[in-house]
Amino acid sequence: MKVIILLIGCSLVLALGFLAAFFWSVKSGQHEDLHTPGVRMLFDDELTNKTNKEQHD
Amino acid sequence: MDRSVISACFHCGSDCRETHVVSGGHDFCCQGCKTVHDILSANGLSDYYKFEDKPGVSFANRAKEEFAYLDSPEVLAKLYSFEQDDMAEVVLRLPEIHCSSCIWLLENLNKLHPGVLQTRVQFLQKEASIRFDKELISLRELAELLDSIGYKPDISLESSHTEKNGKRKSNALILKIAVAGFCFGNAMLFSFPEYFGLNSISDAAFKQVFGYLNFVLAIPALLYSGRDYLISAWKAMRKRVVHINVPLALGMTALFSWSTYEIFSGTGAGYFDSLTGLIFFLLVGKWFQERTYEHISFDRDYRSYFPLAVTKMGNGSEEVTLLDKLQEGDRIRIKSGELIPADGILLSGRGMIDYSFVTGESVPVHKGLGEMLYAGGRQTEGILEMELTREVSQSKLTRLWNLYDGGEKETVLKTFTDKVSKYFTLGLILIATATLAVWAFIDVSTAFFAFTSVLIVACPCALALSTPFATGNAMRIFGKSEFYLKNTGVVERMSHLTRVVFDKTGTITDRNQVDVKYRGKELNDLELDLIYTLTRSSNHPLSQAVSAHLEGELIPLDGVSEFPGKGLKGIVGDLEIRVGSHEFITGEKATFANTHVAVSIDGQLRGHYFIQNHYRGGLKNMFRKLRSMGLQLALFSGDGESEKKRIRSKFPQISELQFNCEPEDKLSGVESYGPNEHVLMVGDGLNDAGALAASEVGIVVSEEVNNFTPAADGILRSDHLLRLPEYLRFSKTVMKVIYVSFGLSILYNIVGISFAVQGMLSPVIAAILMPLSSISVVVFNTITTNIIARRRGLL
Repeated sequence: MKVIILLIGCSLVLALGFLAAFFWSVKSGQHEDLHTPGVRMLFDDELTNKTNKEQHD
Repeated sequence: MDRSVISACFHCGSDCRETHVVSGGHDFCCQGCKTVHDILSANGLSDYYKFEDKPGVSFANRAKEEFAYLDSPEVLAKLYSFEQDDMAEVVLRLPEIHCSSCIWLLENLNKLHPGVLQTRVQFLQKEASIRFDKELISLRELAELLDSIGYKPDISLESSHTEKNGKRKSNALILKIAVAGFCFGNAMLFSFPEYFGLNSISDAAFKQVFGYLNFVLAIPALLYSGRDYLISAWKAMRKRVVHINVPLALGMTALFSWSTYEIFSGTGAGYFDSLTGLIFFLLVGKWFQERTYEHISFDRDYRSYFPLAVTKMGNGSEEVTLLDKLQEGDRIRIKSGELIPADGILLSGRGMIDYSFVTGESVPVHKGLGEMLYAGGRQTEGILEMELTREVSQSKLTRLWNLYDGGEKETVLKTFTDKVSKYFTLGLILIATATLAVWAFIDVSTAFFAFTSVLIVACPCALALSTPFATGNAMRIFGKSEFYLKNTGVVERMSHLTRVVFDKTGTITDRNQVDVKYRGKELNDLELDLIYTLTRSSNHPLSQAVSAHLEGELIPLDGVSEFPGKGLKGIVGDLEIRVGSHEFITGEKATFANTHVAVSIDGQLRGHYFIQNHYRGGLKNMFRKLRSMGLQLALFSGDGESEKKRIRSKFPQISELQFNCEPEDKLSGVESYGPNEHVLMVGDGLNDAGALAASEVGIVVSEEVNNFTPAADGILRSDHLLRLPEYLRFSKTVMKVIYVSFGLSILYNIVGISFAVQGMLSPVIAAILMPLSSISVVVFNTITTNIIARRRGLL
């Protein structure tokens, strides 16, 4: 049964890790805007050139 | 048929009409849209049109120089959220953000200008935080760049700071909730053996270890998450005030101390799970509360709009413009008695400015041509013209209005709430201590449990909150139907009035409907123009009536002075013109009683303008309604007795008529009612400012003129005057709603405490109930007042 002490230690460390992760996420502002990042990842990195675009047309 | 011909703008999607521009095979509704398209495609940003169809923002004509104030270093310091060497970051509200193309374009702003380093859009808040190089682009240029592509930043100095603080605060609260939740969850885990009564089976050593672990978990919950409660209670105690947080802090520390004692003495398992849970739920409740209040709290600038107007001078023409339409550089005309709406330079006329609303100093200050005039001053003599050097700041005027208190009239409810809150807390601590004492004889462990529950479950918040929320909401509702109140206290004062005093001229008579007849010696054109110019300079209804009747040409006068309640004197060369009451002109009492304006030129009486007022329609009904509400009616007027008979037969509801009133007579008339009468004074704010201030509630009836006096408690648009009984009735109802919610919260407290005293309520449940009760009372208040307002057509 002594192993329970060890397990509790592990679980506490794990939970503290999650708590720390939550702290980090709040402080870095990840909860402030839940919409824009989802749209942002869909944008292309490279810009379409005007000439390219017109060739397409 | 027409529809098919009109094409939609490629940029913004509006119909292309008169200003139709075709470029590169695309249709544009205006030059502005085309420019944006050109800028974007020249910089390789035509993907803007790929993410959404016609994503642009329609172009209105935009003013230049609009962002000039962004060059001022003080403004910059306020706006920058971050600044280092050449780099600065600013968070701008861009209300035009509406689709994903917007996000894309704004986040690629650096392609349009090399000075922009990075943009991050927060779509839901319609905000963009922009990092830029100050050497390459100034904030003003940045704002103009944004404006040029259709995203005009909405910059407000006052909101930017408070919002930031608000956000930071709610973040701190979330972190505290996280810690409390963590501690609560784990403390429950370690209390499992306790819950299932496994004590006998499990090792005594485990029990001890679990107890210590719980103790360790409770420390951050109490000292970090519960910090605000402890600190504010401590501060309150040191000031010897009893505060809402005192019982909460007391409950927490009592539970903590007792549990610690139990653990370390090995006599029990303590209540650390309850303690952490209690803190967790209190905080969650607080968060919910903040959210609810945020949601139903009235827009911050509910009274930022003043229904006031001034005369704006155009090219040879004049027009009456609302204050918020005025811009820097506009030339405006200020008549005697009008308030200067914004800072500016005196262009013509003699300024005798009374700054008593700003400085409290009531002796008028002389201002010569070219001198600065500051907002909030009141011109006391004649007419003047000024050029605005600043835009009208509604918030500044509002602040003036609120600062000018003439001694805040105490409200009964406020003192009631204060008293109740104080005795409530004291009584609560007494009950809790009694509970502790009684239970101590039966079961010491339960004693602390019940003690904490009592302290937590009872909450005077509901009592304290119902008044501000109900009256605040009422004020917002009034504002929507164009009745603007100074503060929430006015709503309460409006509910227990006993008498309504009306000013006659300009209040119950219609300024726009006046018959003017001249009787006397013939006047030539020059004389008519002189009289026109002189009467124009005053806002007095009679002067206005005469000048509207004459409609002559303006002649520059050398000097104008106004004698309130008497008349005007003007000088041109060595000619002296006087207009005003017969007594003012001739020094003798008038032998006739008609409403009149006498005219004298060079000391010689020339004749009289007789003015026949028309009463506003529907007054009789309004008076009847007011009477049926048990209100005494009175009418004060500066006019002669001739009207008395007419009014008496026309409006028999008015029990008291006072004529020939000077402004001082109106004041002493209001004061003479004594403290037992609660008087509502309804006036035009010109020669009854004293009476307005002296009455319990003073309401200015405004008709597109700048006759606002800070002494008034409310501004009412003249076309809504007839709704006055409705407004009064509604404020009475609001008071009833407040009393009902008082009853509710008292009932709730009695039930809660009676369970807690018997030890039947766990502190955790109490912690859930406490904020819930406050929220329910506030929601009840807001919803009920809204429903009633809607039923009565006020919303």
